[in-house]
Amino acid sequence: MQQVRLDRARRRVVRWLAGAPLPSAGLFQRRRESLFAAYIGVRVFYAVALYQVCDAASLQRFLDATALDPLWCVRWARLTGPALAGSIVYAATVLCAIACALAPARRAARIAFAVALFEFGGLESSFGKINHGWHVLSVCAFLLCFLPSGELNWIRRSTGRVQAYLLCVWSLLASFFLTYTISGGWKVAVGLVQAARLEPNAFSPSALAYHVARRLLETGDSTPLAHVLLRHPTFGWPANLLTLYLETFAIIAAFRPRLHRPWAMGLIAFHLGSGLVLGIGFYHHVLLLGVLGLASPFAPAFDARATLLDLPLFGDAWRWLSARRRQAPRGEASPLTGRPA
Amino acid sequence: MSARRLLPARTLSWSGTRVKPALANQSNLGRPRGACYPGSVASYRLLVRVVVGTALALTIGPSVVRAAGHRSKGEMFPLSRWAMFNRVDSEVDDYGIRIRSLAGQTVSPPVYFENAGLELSQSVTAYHAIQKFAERTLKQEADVGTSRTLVEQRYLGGPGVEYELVARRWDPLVRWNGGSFKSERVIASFVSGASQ
Repeated sequence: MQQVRLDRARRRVVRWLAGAPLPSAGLFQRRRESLFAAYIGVRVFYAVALYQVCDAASLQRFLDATALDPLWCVRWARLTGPALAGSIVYAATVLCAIACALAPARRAARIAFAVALFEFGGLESSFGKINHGWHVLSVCAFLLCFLPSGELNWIRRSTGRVQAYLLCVWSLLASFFLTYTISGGWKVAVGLVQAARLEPNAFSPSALAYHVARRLLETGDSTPLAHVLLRHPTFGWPANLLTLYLETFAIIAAFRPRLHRPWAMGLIAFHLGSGLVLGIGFYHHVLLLGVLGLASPFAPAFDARATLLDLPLFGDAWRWLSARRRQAPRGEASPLTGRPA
Repeated sequence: MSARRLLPARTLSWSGTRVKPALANQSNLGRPRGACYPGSVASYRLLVRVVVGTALALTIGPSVVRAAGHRSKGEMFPLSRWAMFNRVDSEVDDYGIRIRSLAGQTVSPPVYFENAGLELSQSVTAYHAIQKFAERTLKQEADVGTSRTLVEQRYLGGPGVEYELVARRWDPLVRWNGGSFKSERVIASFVSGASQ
């Protein structure tokens, strides 16, 4: 009984997360197309990963380093020294990325790449600061270890394998968007606490100006738009609120295929904007958002009305009110218009 | 491929390779007793658990690490709290390196690292390395030497730099408009490459 109730609750949550359902017509055709796009997407993902790891500046940084503050996963680098450790890890990561880009169907290659990338990211973050550019890529590489092996013809012969393949590819986007939701959640939570204390907070018109001034004074740096924004702090307010919305509800967008592309585009715009204003580009994430979000294998053809109805909070509220209006008996006031239905 | 097609589906693992039925049963986690799911469905169920587990690890993991008092404060790669720019600070408390002498020449007045015009002065990684160095110095942690070596060799550019670690308090908007620090307190003085 308990299990049935739990299942029912879980289904209700998933149904709410999924928003307005996609039309059931052409479901199997869509799944075939999604599988094909996902298959290509995995290959492109590894090509992008190869591009990201084979940065010559990384290798040069390892070779030039005379000291290191190694993270827990690369403690062994103390024995070899940064140059040798860096050379080994760099070579292993690049070779594994090449293997994965050539043969993504091979699980051994994917596992090797996940391990090598984990070490690479650890070493990249051993210069005194943990760089967040490698976290998502590492988690995606880990999740891809569970991708069903085999060529496309072999996978599409079994519904279970097709579903597993699609779930695995979707989980890359979901885990990526989840990191934004965690970040947005912290901003909202801390912002509410600061607002309650009547301090400047994440919802204040001057919030972005405070961030920009702090960031640029910490590093003595300057950015193209910083001066304009600090002269007119309210210019950044709408962008700041929109970013909070995009970040906080990103995980819900992952469950709603119509939102994959708009959300990815919004987050790309956020990264480009923060590059222009704060000097923090997160260009690794821009590429991944392109591969996993803009080229999402699950996104249907664009439909503006359906997309708006899928928007978290606003779309949900509109759909709920519409459903109430449909259910209201004739003669009762409609919650949308206030007039009798 | 043709041999695979002849095999019953439940003796195939999710990698598509043939496994013994007993082993296949072990891999079907959560499968009800007596049920007879194909291997691909079992792999799907396993994958669902992996995805949910990863999501939980990403969400709760960093907070658990932090609550456990681990020195990484939840930033245990590849886990991260993703708590970036969550506080809007009208008063910032941080640490800076104030350089008094560089390459044998006295710097007058002393300048902070970020304004010293060194090769990596504008690096945010350097800024965070300095914060870590100062925190370890204040707490007198065992591996303060590692942080110091890193800062001196990588960011200060070698031996013979006289500098002091300073705890600072400042308002971002006031300083941006030409104001000064609210307070500056010297924690320790060093010469790079020498003992304290």
